[in-house]
Amino acid sequence: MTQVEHGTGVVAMDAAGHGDIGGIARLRYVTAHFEFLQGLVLVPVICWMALAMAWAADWVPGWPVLAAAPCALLGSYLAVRHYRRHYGQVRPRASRGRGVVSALPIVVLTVAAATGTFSESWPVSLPGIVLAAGVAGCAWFQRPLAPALVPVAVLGALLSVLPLAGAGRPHPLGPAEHWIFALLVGAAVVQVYAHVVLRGAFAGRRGPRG
Amino acid sequence: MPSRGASPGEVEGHDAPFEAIAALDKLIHEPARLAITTALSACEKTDFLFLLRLTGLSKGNLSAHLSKLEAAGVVDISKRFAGKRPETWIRLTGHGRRVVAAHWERLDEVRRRASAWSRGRS
Repeated sequence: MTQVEHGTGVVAMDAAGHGDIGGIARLRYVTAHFEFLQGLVLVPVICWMALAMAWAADWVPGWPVLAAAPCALLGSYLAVRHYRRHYGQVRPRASRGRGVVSALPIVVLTVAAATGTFSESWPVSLPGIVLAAGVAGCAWFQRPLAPALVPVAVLGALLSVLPLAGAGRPHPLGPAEHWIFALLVGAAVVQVYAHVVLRGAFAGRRGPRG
Repeated sequence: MPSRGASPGEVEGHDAPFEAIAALDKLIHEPARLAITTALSACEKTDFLFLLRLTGLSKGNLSAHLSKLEAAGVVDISKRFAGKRPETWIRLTGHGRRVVAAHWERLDEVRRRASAWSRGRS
């Protein structure tokens, strides 16, 4: 029996290759999605965008948005440097089109907004429901990130269908800046979890013998 | 020197488990090299540091394994400078991609046969 240790698990296999194939699957996943798993690169930008949406919703004054812009750029730059120095670099293969799933809700919402399909005065948030469905779809294709994607999708769906402002009153996630803010908060959570997955895949590894 | 090993089709003819296992490409099947080639098969190319961190091998061990794979024509190693920092990039060659894919097909076949045999005995 030989062992290849990597990631959060051990690939244990006999001469015929029997054993924990999950470890090999993890190795493939981390390599294939290495750029996407560098979550801390996007978190500062996402937080800045959320701050901009908060300003658009009149929750905060404008100056913090301007002041935070250089900080967000610096944070992203430092994160890129951290990942490059600690984990190296991967040139990914050409995308096979699965990213279309994540872009689909955005396309649907853009078309709906352009055609005036949904109204801000509805007691439920249709954009929230569409986005929650999109996040759930992403969880299907990005199984290792499902522990973050599924709760975000469920919470987003619940917040979108519950009449949070009371029966018959406009839903709080109806206005664009509100549901975009909620989307960005969910994206930040997923990106932080992606970083946790990446760290877990590299942390404390003892190499294969030989 | 290209790596040798039976094609998946050749394994079809083996009923005894040992022959099927013996047909595995030992250059690829060594655990460290299996981890390296499997990671490389999931991307276009990686740098040395990524493989070092992912496999947990020492620099010397990783270099030795990569040299064997390069000598067999499985990987292509290129060195360049990014500013003042030297970078070493590793990629599977076309031959390497075929060899790794064939190896995994062979492993799947052995696994499938073992499962079928177990079901037949129970």
